[in-house]
Parts: sequence; C-alpha cells; structure tokens
Amino acid sequence: MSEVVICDTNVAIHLAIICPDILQTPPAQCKIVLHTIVKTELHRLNKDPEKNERLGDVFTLLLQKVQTFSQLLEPDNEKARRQHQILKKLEEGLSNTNSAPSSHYDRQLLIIAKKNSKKLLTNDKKLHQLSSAFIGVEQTWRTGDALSNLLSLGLISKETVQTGLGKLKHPYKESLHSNCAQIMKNLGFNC
Amino acid sequence: MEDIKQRLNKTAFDLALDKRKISQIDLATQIGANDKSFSRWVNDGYIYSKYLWDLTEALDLNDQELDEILMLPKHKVFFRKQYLEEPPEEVQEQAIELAKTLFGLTYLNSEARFFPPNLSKEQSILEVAEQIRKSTNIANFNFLQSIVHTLSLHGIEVAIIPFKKLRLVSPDEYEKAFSVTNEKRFLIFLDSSAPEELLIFNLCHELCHLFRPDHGYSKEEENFCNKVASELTYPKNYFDIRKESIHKIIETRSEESIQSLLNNLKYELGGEPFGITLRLKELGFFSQKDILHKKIISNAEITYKKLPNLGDMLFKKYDLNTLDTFKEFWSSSDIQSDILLRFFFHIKNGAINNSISARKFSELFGVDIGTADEMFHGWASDALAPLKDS
Repeated sequence: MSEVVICDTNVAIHLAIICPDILQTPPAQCKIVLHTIVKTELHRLNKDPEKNERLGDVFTLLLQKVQTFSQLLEPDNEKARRQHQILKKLEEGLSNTNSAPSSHYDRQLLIIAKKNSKKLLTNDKKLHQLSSAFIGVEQTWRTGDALSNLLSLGLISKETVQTGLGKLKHPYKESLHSNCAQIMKNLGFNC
Repeated sequence: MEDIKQRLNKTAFDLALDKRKISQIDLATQIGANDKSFSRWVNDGYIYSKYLWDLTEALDLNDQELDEILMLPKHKVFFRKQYLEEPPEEVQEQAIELAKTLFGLTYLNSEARFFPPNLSKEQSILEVAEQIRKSTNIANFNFLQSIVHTLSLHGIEVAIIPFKKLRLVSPDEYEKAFSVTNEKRFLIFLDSSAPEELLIFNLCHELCHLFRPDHGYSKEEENFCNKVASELTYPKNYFDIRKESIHKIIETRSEESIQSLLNNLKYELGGEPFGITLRLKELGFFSQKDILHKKIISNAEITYKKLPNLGDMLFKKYDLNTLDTFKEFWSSSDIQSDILLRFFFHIKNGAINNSISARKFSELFGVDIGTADEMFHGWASDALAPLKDS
C-alpha cells in the first residue's frame, strides 16, 4: 500500500533528527513529503541566528538533501482566497478551541492536504485541531503517530528511534508533544 | 479520539437546501456521508465537522448562510477615530484578528458573566453614565490601572497597545481605540500613544458603545459617547454640588485663582486641566466668548500637549527594527506585573501553553517566523526551568 503524508515544518525537524533516511529516501508504503511552503518556512527559520545555531545542520539536511514534493494540486488565487474564508468561518464554529485563531500558513497547509486527500502530519496545536476537525482524526498525525506507523511497517528500527529521541533532547533541545511522548512511552521508549 | 461534532441550525440548513433544490440524500451522497446517519444528525442539530468543508463547497454557501447554519458568533467592531471615516479594510481585519486572538486566549474570563443593559434607546447622558457606573461597579474613572483591573473581573479585557506598531492605523493615523463584541463577551483596545488621561476618556467612550450596541457608526452616536465619557471622567454632580464656590472663584477673574481652582479639581477628580476646562465650558462655567476663559483653556491645552505619552513609557523597547530590544520587551518582568501590559501577558502566556502558535504570533506582530519560533522556544524552556531545578 502506498501512502503520501504531507509533513509540517515542526515534524520535519523531528524526523530529520530521529530518522533522516525516511525523509531523504521516502519509502513507498509511507512517503512523508515536504511541500514548497514548508521548505520556504524552513528557510526562514534557518535565518534566525539562534535557531541556526541550535538546528543549523538539521535545516541543511532538510533544505538540501530532502526533495520538495511538487506533485500536489493547489487551488488558484481566487479559489484559495475563498477556501481561506470558508476555513476561517468553519473554525469559528468549533467550540472550546481555547486558543488564538489559525494563521494563513496553517490554512494553506490544510487546504493542500484536503485538496489532495492526503494525511497531514503536524505537531502544531491549532493546525492539528483544525485538521482533526475538517479532514478527520484518522487523517491527522503527530510525530508519535508517524513513528509508530513507521515502526509497525518495519521501515525504522527501535534502536534508531531510541537514539533519535535522545538526540532530540541533546543536543537539539527539541521536545515531543505530550501526546507523542505518551505514544512513545507506551511503545516502550525512554523519552 | 472521536470525530468532532458542530452545532447546526436545521431551519437555516433546510432553507439552503430548498433554495438550491437539493435533497439531504443527494447532498449526503455528494459529501460521502451515509444518508440515514446524515439525516439523523441534521434532525438532532449537529453535523460531524469533517463533512462541513465539502458540504459548504457542494452547496456553495455564502458567508451569511454559513453564519446562520453554524450559528456563528458575529463580531462587531466599533472604532473611535479623530475624524468620522471607516478605517481601511486591512485595519479592520487586523483588529478582528487581534480581538479573536484575545478572546481565544482569555476563554477563562468567559466565566465572568457580564450582561450590560442595552441602553441604545436611552437619550439621557447622565442616565447612561450612571448605568455604566452601576454595571461595572466603577464609581470613579480616574485611575487607569484600577479601571482595567475592575473591568477584567467582569470579563471585559482592556488591551493597551501601540496601534501604529501593530498596523492598526490608516495612513492618516486617526484610529484611537476600538471595541469588539462577539455577542457574549467584550474587548476594548486603546492606542497607547496618548497621555493616560486621554486613554481613560477613550476607554469610557468605548464602554458607552458596548452599552449601546444597536447604534451603528454615526457622528451623532460618536458625540453622544463623547458626552458620556465626559460625564464619567468629570461627573456633573461634582460640579453641581460646588457650583457656587466654583462660580465665585471664576468671577474673581484672577488667572492665578482660577489656575488654583483647576489644580484642586484635578486633585479631587483626577484627569488633567485641559479636560477639566473643557468640562467647565460644557457645564456653563466658562464661556467661549470670554477672553480670559479662552486664555485659560488655551494654556491648559498647551500643558496637555506636554503630558507624557503612555506608549513612550510602556513600549519604548517594542521596536521591530532592533530585535534584541524587541526580545527584551517580551522578556521584561513588567509583562507579568503591569496590568497595563495585560494583552502582552496573555499572548506570552498563550505562547508558553501552546494556545498561540509562533506562526500566528509572526502574522499578528509582523515578526519573522524564525525570530518568533525561537522566542517561543526560549519562553517554553524558561517556564520549565524552575520545575527542573526543584
């Protein structure tokens, strides 16, 4: 079975630390891909001196060694504008969001995932919330879900994951979403 | 995790279907839902949100229909401007985004119930002002910190922000304040680039709008709210009680005595002399035709123009051109302790508990995403540090 999963920036950084091969040579059974807008955001993140100091080599890998997946359909300007308007309205109808509204980028990535009927992989709270609501819970993953799936498909080893989780903390000072940390603990990992 | 349900207004939904001559069964098929389940959901007044997007597109619903079908809150924004003109669209959009952000980050304040009486039909300025005092439990509108604090207890957040730095001004820079309601809660945004006394006046003006929601934007309503603000800041009753003594001093025609009177009034009422002289004129103590009175008002105005600008004190370090200084602003302990920086406290708190993303922060404040992301990372680490140490 072949599956394409659209990966958000924050997960891309995690996966680049934990299992870079999966991004560099995506297996057909679970092809985790980076869209142009994610690459653009990575490029902008890399420009911050403090961020570059902390994650510079991760950005280099993502920007230079991971291909941009360009086969995704996007609506034209007028349709996209209307999509954003619709999403902003639909978002208002979600009760108990208890958070700031979505950003333009959030909605852009959501529109791309929806229009191409692909899973969306994100740790961003708002984007995850909107994706779960409007694309579906099953179609929305975080880092933990991706790693769990890759493990079950035999595409990465437990050793790789454990080492990667360690590197996430030191030296990269990144942290897992609490939900992801629980998933990994349930799978027997230290994190 | 279960799929999410959203409320749906069956009447409005059926109307939209009738208008397009499409049945529920056909629509359900189009959007990939089981027709029997779909019918049951609609009858029960909800729909699973994962079908909403396709439903909206299949029916090509317009904004009004979406508002009615999903029973969405309507955001009303009232702008206070120096001149009567609609602010540009991009300013209104930024205002609504800031308001929605603050509503979202202060959801806990939704527990503080505030149901102001609708005074839209009330024509008495004194009565409107009195109702505002009673409903807010604020007897004296002369100390900004205290007003902001008391209003927050009612669930009305007051955000004091630099409008220009947050792209809330048109090219002529006339926007001074705005209030927003989502039909359940209220927010007031004040431009910090003014003396504290003017901020209080603008706050009172916006409060008046919130108590008169049926009125649209008009010169008459703006004048009315200005008069209510005057009454709240310099109550007529105070002057009525002291009418004789005030007249006596003014009739001496001694500039020194009148100046001393103004100082005493300022001491007792708060505010500042220019505002007080305008109130004295409004109440008939000063005359526009009297040369001495005009001179005193003019001198008071000169003094007023020299008053410190609150924004210069609060937002000196809020400078996107100097990122280190900008970051220093956000790291300052003042954000935690100064009630006038409440808006920024909510934003930073939201950043630490993931209620606002770096992307949204970047969008709202015009900060590069890299800077925003790393600031968020630093705040989150700092927030965890005491836990690690203990």
